[in-house]
Amino acid sequence: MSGSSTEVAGPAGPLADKRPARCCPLPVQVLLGLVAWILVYSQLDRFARWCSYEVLGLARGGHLGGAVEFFVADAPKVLLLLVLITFIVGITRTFLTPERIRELLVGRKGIIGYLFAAILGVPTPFCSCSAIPLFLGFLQSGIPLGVTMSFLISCPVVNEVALALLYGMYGWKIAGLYAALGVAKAVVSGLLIARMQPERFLEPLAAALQPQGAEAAKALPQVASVRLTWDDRLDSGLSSVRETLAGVWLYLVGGIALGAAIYGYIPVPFISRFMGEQAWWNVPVAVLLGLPLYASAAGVMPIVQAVLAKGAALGTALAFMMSVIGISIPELVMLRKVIKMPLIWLFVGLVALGIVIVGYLFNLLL
Amino acid sequence: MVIRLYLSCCGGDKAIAAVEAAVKQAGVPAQIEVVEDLVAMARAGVMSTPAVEIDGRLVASGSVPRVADLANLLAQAAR
Repeated sequence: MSGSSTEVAGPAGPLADKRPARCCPLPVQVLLGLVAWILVYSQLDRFARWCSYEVLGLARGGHLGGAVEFFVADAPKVLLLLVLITFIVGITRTFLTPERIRELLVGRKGIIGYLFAAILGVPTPFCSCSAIPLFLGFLQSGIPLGVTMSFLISCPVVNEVALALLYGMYGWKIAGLYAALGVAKAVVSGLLIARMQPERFLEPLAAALQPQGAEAAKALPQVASVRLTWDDRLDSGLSSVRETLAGVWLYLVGGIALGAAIYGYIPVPFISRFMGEQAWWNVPVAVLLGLPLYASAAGVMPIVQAVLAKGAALGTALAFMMSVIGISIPELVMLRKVIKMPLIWLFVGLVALGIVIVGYLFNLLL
Repeated sequence: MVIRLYLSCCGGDKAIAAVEAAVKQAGVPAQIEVVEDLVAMARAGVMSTPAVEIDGRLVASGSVPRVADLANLLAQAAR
């Protein structure tokens, strides 16, 4: 699908709209793309089995056979799901800009504010860089710090990529439960943080930006909004896909290779001893292991899938996944510029605790 | 005309190149400033980067517009 425009800087003159000529309208291209997507996705498992057992002639049930089948079926599946969900979210984000989110959150009293913040965090990506301007922007318009924290907790954990992958692999019940628990956790954490007078932990530069009165909160510079056409929105979706794939493919391939290795070569008893139902301490350990690690949801998902296929308990595996994608050291380093250590510890501690609880819940329920 | 480009850690070079190309295309005299200071960003109302401000008016937040669109905005601002 063509979607990128190559601009050539020409001489000044009458500035016609320099969109590139397309062979057919963008919506048609997108529609064709979706149809192709559905066709490929539905045929992948058969294709993988055919590759592994007919073409390569590997033994069924053997290590290499299993690994290849996993790799051929899952690498494209994960990629396809990623493409679809990133496209949809890319479009959603042209509607839900940070400015719009701020408008939706300003002045909301009570728990509703936290709920909104947590829910709005779901389609919002967490680029560590943009987190700070967003944080300061919320602060400036008088949104309570607890509400902002709910948002910050929800962004990475309840993540559209993780949801899409969970849906694709385990169905809507698991994905829905993950989303609901993630939102609940973000809301509760935000409420708890609010109880602790978090404003005292703001760095001076952030504290100074808080509005001094009700009027100050209203007088914020507005972005002269450019009217977006549907072509623009679809384009935005497509460029989201391109950006995400570019950033993620290395993690993805590495994760899938590792996942395939685990699937094919590490025997079941090993995995279930460490991540299976028996030991009660699995969940906290999984979370602690995952906290300092960071990978995108797409990267860690294949590993999670592999250990699950080998007998790990669902709650433990999900807890590991949530803690890997939820907290990243670069993100914390960025936050440190505006928040003092005690609040950072509180943030990490509450997120970790929430994940542990979710992990146990999943283990019990399933 | 003063163009301020607000950037944080990611994707700065492409943004700068796009703004420079737009200025050339519009053919208007403009001074490009790159701002990375968080407080200045907050005061300008920038909530996601990259963001573009022309003569104090925020015209883009979160992404740099297509070069052609940006050049159009510059030409309009020059009148």
